[in-house]
Amino acid sequence: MNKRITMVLLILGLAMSFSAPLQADEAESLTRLDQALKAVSTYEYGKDSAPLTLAEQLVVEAAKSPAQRAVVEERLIRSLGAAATRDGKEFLCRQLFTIGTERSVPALEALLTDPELSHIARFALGRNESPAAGQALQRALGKTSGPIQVGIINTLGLRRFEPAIPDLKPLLGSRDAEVAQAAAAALGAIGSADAVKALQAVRAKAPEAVQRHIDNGLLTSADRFLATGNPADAAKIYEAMYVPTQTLNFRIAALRGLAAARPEKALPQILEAIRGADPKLRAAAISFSAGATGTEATRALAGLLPALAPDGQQLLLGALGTRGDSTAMPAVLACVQSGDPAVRTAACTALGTLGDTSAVTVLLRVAANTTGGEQVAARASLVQLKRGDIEGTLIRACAGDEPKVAVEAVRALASRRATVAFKELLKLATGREATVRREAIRALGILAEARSLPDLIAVIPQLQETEDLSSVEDAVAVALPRLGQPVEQAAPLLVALERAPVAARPVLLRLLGVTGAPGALTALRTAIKDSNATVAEAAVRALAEWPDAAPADDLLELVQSTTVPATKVIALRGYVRMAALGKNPGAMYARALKLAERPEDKKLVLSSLGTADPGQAFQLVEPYLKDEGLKSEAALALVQIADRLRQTDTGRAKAVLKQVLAIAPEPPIRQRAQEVLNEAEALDGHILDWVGAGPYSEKDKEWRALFDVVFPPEQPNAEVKWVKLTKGLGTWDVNLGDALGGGDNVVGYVRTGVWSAAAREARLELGSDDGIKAWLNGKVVHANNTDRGLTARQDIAKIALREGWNELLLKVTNAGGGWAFSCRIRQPDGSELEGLKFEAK
Amino acid sequence: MSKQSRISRRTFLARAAVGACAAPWLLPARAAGANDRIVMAGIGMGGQGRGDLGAFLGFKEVQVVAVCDVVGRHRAMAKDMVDRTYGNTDCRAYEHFREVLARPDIDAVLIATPDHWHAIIATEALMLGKDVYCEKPESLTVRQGRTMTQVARRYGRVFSGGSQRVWEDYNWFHKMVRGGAIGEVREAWVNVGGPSEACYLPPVPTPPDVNWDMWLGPAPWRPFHPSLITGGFRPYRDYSGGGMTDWGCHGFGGALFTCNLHQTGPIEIIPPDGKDHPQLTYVFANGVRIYHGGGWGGLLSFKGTRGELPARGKEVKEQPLPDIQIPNYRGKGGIFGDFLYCVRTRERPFRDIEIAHRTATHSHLGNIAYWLNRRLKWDPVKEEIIGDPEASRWLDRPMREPWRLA
Repeated sequence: MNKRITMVLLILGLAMSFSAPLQADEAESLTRLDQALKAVSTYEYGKDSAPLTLAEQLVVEAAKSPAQRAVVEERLIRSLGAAATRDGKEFLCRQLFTIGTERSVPALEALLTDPELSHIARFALGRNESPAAGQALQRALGKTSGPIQVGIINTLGLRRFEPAIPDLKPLLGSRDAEVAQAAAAALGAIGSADAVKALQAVRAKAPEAVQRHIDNGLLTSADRFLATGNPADAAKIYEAMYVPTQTLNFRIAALRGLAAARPEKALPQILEAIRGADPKLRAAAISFSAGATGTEATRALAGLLPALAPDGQQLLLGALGTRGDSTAMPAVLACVQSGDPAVRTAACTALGTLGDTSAVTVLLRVAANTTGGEQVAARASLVQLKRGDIEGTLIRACAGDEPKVAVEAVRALASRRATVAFKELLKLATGREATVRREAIRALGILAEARSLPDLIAVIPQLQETEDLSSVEDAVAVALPRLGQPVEQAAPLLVALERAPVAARPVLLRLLGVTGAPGALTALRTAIKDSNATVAEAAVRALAEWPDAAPADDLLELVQSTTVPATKVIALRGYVRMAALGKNPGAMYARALKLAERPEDKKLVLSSLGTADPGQAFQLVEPYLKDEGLKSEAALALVQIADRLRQTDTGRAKAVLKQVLAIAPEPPIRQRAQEVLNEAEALDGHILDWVGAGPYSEKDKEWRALFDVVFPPEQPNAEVKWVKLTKGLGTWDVNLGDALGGGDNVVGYVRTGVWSAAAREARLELGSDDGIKAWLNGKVVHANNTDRGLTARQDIAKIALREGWNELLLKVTNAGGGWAFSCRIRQPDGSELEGLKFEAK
Repeated sequence: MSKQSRISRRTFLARAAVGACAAPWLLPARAAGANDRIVMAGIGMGGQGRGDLGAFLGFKEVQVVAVCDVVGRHRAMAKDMVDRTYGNTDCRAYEHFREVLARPDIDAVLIATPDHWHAIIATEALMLGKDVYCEKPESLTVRQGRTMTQVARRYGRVFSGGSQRVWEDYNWFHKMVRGGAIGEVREAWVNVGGPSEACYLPPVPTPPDVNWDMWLGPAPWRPFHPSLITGGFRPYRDYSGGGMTDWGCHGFGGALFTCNLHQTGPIEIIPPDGKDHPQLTYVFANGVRIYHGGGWGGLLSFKGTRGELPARGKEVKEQPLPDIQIPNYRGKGGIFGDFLYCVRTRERPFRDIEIAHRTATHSHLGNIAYWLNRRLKWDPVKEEIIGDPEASRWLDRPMREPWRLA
């Protein structure tokens, strides 16, 4: 079954089970609770858990009524005293976690010294709001030792139970290192001034294994001081820990604390750490430097750059970039000249946030003269720069002497969507330098708006070079839709066409073809008669690509009249294309086939028929199956047609595919035909003769686990009651819910005999809802432990059939909801395997 | 069986403690330069853990030197993966995570244990100066998540949570919704599994290669059952928040990020009542509602002031994406590459623990509302349940001895 559906059902089920009122009044609920608690008192894992589930529900419901809650708590306490098993007592303690009050404390306190139950008693007490719970834990400190005492200390820490401080203090000196560590952690969690004093008092003398827990405790306390508005006391702790003799990770933590507690005063320490020898401390200090704000701090940080190794420079450049303070710019600009490419890249990235107009030239040069990451960083920063008149600076750079730099400036303006640069770029689009010209044309295509696009189109007649024309065609094609309706798009193109030299006319004609406007069609009809062959061909191509079938007759006329072979092919291709768009495609295809004189023209039409209406296309194609020269194209067209037809007319599709398989010589066509046939036959030939057994289940085992449980049908010589399946049989699938009866988390088995005239390779095609395992003659041939809905042929397994009878056994699991399977046996390539017999015995 | 378990645990802890005391609690003095390799260890090497391990092994800048699991066969398979990758037998296999964390040469750890272990191992690793990549759900309780965030900040460590789907699977939604495709987003539906529940699986003898007491760790004691060590722990409350936190970290994480609510939390959580609230409903301060279950878009559905996503009856990809950039992973190689990049630069990763914790908290609060079947009022700044101290109990749980968070 689909997981999401299962989930939704689960949620609805939960909602209903929770939201439905208990089936009786409170008194009846208590009666049910008493019965459940009776079972709880002797509960052990493996026994029926239903009473526990019921008791848990009743406890949750009771919490809504104070009176009922008190009674239920009393029942739970009484049951805890009387319960005979550990598992039962643990369950009751869990319920007291949910519902327990001060009244539960004595019963739970009694369990704190019990090695088996101490934890679950703490579980219930630890989050109980009553101070009595904390007092009970505190009293237990003196009665316990070892891990049990550690657990109690941990829970006092979890509660941040300040009254326990006097009892925790001496435990810092315990010989048991785990007890001392726990005491340090608990005092740190409590984090009061007294707790801190206690930790500081023993820190110097504590063994190393305890000391780091004391230090962590002190840091925890300091963090709490900081979070509660007491940075002064926090800083004292951090300062004491930020000493060279301290281990590195604690020094890092202390420096982080200092940077947060007193950012300005911590700056010298941060600077010193960045200058220092330790790379980890340096990296951490750089990341903490954000706390020290202001230009002086920026200047000091930037001043460290020259002396740092490349690794440190990279990190510091990143931090300076994040600060975004332009004070750092001179130092960052210097790093753009570094010998280390990673540093140069980091500097370029930093300039994006802190740079101003003076960074523009630097970044342009990097973008123009490098490749890879450095170039990417420079280009990104050119887009990101914000300080000053960046776009004005870029526009001026476009007119510079260095073409590579000018190209990058144009590119940056386009990426910034700087429409303010449009006029300058128009000038560059007809300028002398080719690379700048083409980049400007590309940029104009990006920046052009409805208002300004005609200005770009007006440039077209001024261009001569093929590459320029190609660029402007791409640029205008991208921008054309911004002009609105087809007529509006065509208008400036038609104006330009009037005065365009021969070289530019093909570009304008192709663009006119894209618009699909009536005026454009007229212009194209005129242009196909142009005396210039290039112009005429461009017009034919534009007609052939016209958005609808309007120029179909023009193209037909051209096919019949032209003496230029290339024009004929283009026109024929266009006409065939329009056949698919036209009102009477069958007639158009027939006409096209008739007009196609050369074999290659016929091939062209045939290969287009694969997308034509199947009914008409079959008739057109079939005659060509007998033509040796065109057989392959015809066969492939039929396969394509059959593929489209198989949903609506499976029988005809199959017949055609079999015909193709009988005559087509080329392996790729045959293979494709077989694949389509296999799809068309997806529901054919499924085995529907089965005996079944089940459903089987096992207590507390869900479907996934049941997949590997060996039930009697899998056991040799086990007694199984096989029943012939008569219900649930579809045309290709078997609904096991109907056949065997339903249930969630169950499995069922089905079995049949398969007779083969000879030993042979075959393939088993299975579908299942949910998991499926298959045995052939006692050997597992397939297993898929899954949760899914059924479709045919979801799993495929290679099998080897014996001569004569073979036994096929399937096991199907059900997670929940639908429960079904499908099964058939085919040739190894998926085609029909004739001659098999099936008999369920 | 219970006696046997307790003896084995104590024996084990004594052995581990010896190892811990013998180890120097010092950070490595090795240079962590940009050209150095990041030395890693994997802790919790079941199916998910080995999947993550394989991803990290694919990065040239990573050197995995140790693996750890309380199940012998998981340990062996993980060691074999690493050794085959490097063509040697150098990877050390450990049973106790503290032996791994004690190694000063390890810079970062992958934590992919069951959920109930994440916070303990992560906080100890952070305290010892390791960076952490932790599988989702990062926490078992709300307080664990907050503590992990605090400890990561305290020690200046990089901590990435583990839901790769939040960006990789759902970025289409992020771009569409944040790009204004449906106006102002008002409602979201998240189709993930339900809450976890009590575990009553029957007892089964513990196999010799499983340290069962250590597998349980901070969770209440119970006898062994094989499905728990093979990924079947998720339905049970002692070890996981169920589907709500499992796929919830993906699905809710995706919805929260899409709605730009990933750094806060709801103000009210309403369990389903079969009437006015057919689904668990989260209400946010800005009026946005996120529902558990329902919708029409598979895992995620959104409704805004000007439309719905995905549009009903249309393939997701049919709708064009707006041209907007949303900061996501740095570096190369998805969520793992993002983590490694941040280990080098000390930046915060895409699934920084603060954000991962906020998502997990969202799921935990939904679970508490389900378990107690009552409305919760939540203060997303103080991270406190308002006016219901008994519901607040569920924000944390006392751990079995000797475990606690660092």
